[in-house]
Amino acid sequence: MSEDFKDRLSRIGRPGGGPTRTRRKVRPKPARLEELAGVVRTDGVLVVDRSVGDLATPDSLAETLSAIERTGRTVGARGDIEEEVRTLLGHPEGALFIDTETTGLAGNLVFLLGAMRIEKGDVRLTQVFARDYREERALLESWIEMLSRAEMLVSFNGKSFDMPILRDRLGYHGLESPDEPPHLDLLHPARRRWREVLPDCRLQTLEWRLCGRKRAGDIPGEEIPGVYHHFVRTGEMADILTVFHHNALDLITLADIALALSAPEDDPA
Amino acid sequence: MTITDFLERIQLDRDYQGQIRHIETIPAREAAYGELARPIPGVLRTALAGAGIERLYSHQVDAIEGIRDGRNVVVVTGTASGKTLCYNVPVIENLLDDPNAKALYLFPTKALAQDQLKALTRLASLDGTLTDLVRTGTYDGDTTRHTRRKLRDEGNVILSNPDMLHAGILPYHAKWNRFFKDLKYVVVDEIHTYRGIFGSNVANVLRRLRRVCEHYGSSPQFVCSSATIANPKELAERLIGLPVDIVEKDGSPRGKKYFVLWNPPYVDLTKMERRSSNVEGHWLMAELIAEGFQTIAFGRARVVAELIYRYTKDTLERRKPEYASKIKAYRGGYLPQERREIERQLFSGELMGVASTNALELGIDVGSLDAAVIVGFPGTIASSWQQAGRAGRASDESLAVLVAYNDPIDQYLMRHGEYFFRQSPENAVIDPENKYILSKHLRCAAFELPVTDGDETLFGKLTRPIVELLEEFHDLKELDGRYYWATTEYPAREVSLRTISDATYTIVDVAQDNSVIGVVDGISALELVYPEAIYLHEGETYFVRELDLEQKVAYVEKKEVDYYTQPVLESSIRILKEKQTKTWRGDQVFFGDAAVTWVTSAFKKIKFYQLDSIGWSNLDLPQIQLSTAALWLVPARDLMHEIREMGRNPVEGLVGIRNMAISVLPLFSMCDRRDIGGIVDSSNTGSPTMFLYDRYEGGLGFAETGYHAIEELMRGCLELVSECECETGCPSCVGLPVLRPAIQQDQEGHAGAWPIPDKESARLLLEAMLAR
Repeated sequence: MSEDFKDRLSRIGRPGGGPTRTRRKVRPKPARLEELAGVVRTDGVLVVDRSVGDLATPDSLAETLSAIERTGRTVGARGDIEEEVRTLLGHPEGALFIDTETTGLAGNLVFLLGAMRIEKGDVRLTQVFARDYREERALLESWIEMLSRAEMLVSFNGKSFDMPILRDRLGYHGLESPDEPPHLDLLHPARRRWREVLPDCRLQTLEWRLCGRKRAGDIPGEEIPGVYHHFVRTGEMADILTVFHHNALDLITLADIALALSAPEDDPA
Repeated sequence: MTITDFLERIQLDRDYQGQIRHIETIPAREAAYGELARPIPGVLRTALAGAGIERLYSHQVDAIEGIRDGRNVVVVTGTASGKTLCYNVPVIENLLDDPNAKALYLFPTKALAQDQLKALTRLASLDGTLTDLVRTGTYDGDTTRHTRRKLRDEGNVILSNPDMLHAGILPYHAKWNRFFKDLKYVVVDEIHTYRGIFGSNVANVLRRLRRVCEHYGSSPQFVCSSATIANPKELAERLIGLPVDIVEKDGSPRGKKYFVLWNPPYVDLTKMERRSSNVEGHWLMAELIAEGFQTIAFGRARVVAELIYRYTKDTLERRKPEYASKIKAYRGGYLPQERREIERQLFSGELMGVASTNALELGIDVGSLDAAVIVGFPGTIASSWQQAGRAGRASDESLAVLVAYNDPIDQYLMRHGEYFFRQSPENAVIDPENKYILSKHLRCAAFELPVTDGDETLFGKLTRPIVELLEEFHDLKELDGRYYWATTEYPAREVSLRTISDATYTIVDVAQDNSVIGVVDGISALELVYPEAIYLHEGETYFVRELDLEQKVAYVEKKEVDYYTQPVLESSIRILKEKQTKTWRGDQVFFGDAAVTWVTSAFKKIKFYQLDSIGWSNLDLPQIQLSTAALWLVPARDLMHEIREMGRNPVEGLVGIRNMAISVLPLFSMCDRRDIGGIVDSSNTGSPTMFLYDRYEGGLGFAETGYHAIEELMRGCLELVSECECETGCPSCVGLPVLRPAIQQDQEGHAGAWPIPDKESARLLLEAMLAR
């Protein structure tokens, strides 16, 4: 291959020139993902299972969750709450809150699957992570297993994003798509409820306006795919841990939104 | 009046001055029918009968049997011979057997896909079972989101185009997993359009399609169709990368056809200028229509089609007013609805005539007309036959007329009717392994599925080195010998199938809110839209106000001017690597890699029609570099000496040969004059050398064809120069063709069309070379 050709090849898709890329600065620790607290399995895919209480998460979370349990008992008769939300709050133990991180919008792979469930007063967060592109298949196998146990799925925009991409990826790997339980996509009731009063209904807007939380040190969603590719190439940990954290926060906010939806309509958002 | 009567009558007209140079009679042909070994299923037979089809032509039977046997097939038969049935029948009968089966039809244009959708739904509508069974639609840039999803999930016959497959389907193959799993047939229609750069790209897209299918466990059969070219089987096999059976014995009936070569007469005794071909063409069209023959005229450019339309309308107003409103112009740039309406009116006979560009050359069904007037050789013999094929009924006589322009190839053909009619049409050349093209598709392929060792059988031996480079650049990541896409980019976006350059320039109209009126590849931009250039678009003249090299935008505005501009190019060439060489009649000929550099250093303003140069401006533009494939010919020193002894300048002669060779090479290789460049230079070999090169990064096989056909190429040049009636050289021989409005050509290595190199030097040099 001539130098000229190499040079040209290196410029395809990079108007700025050569193949160099800069990443954000690297912070050490832990040295390997497998040292993360809560790792339960590393064969073929990394599975981290933790109590949400063990995470460096907002203090309000424990309150939210116990509130969900409390509300659940009283919410049954309230007609002003959308039916699916009522179902969720009435029986939160059967619900699986999900959020996936992918390498892009379409035609891309799923590398992190976050799933949260309420279990005997504790909130467990399972994050299944493909440490490189080969492990997506094992990630999806874990997904099938989780799905078969879930009585209800709860997501934010999952009907249009997470579920179609998961189905596509199952198809890609030749894995059978299992039957799916009822799916509560909170984006829609949230829109109906707050469209008039909030500038938009993005997850982080809701998080700020409903829960009063602003994220510090979080990573913007559009940077996530690049961070993952960087991790696969270099094994550098710092940024990918931010993605784990981002994913966890998204799930926690999901629970918050569900709870907020159970509040009376005139409650100031 | 019959066609024969018409031909007699026109020769009695007072405007007739011996324009007819040749009349070729193509005899009528009886229909040949065939029987399938296993009859077509009842419901489909009912539907076919409803469409008036009781029996199949022999070529349809051959194709269907081949497809039933599981073979890949290319069908090469004439216009309106019923090619569509060759694939619709096996696809539908297979659906009756296996309702899960899927088929993908690819057409070169969206309009063709629409046309075929109409035909397919019409056929399916003739039987209730089929109506339910065939779930079809076009999937392209115009398809709504909702319809897209529905087609993906439910469709079983999807009609699309290669561009959409490349950027809108393959990258999202996971969404299509059920479709690909059951994909049984891929129809690639009109494959002769997939040549050169477009064809090389499409070949790679089809390889990507095959590996995606393999991933989902299917291995579809390919059914191709092509107009007549020299090498349809080879082209089909190169395109899909699999062995293909050819079906070419046309069983459809044909009435007798006359094909006339028509050369406009000289305007005066200097024998330099001929009567306008557009005027001659319109005259023929008006006369034909006035006599009641439904006629199509083809012009090489939009503006020509419009002119012929306007002239014909004017003439008919006087000659046959009731027909004046029954003609239309047809070209790209019209709204799709307008075009559909014209097609319909042509089919129904409401229209008596249409003046078109080659937009109507592709297989859109407008029925068969009585006469086709082709104004200017369309560039290839294959294309001429396509256009001529628009005329021709199953039983009646029909007429095709080729009206020549006053330029080398047209004039050559006028003098060599036998060549035009005996020569097999051109080779369609593609080079899927052009490393620039291939590397872009390997990026796309890796995005779709990790690249493995096995992909070398699909993409060739360059696969590994390119993939390794891509890993070096962090586009790919190797894991267990599989190369995964490892960036956030979306590589299909970087590849346009129809142009080669990485950099596409956008041409925007400042007067219209910077709306985009065109795009041009980076290689041509600096010769076409330099500052103050006149850019011709849809018959309008645009003035280039500014060329932004950073953003790659040319800002233009409409301006009425009476001149056009011609770039003055300075170019040089450097041999990079000699790959093949041979001694041809005592001269050395080479083929290899070369680097060509050129810059548009100035431009001339040239008055329309008079062609006088009325101004000159210098330009300050960057150089363009192209590393490509070239052939070079080094005439032996004693030859050159011999010519000098005769008092002629041999280098000037070589320049003349170069000019002719650029025109003649397209007769062997299916390319356009614009695809080839030429330079005469002594600095590489130490002796005057003629270079011909592909104007595409990495080369596309044109110069290579020329290397192998050097004898024919040089003979063609000698015939051209010996037979030209001019005295000292004209644009029809050693001069480069005069730039016509709306046909931009490069004037490579030559400061414009004038001065013309010495004709006698070129002739003597060619004679001397060929005499040895």
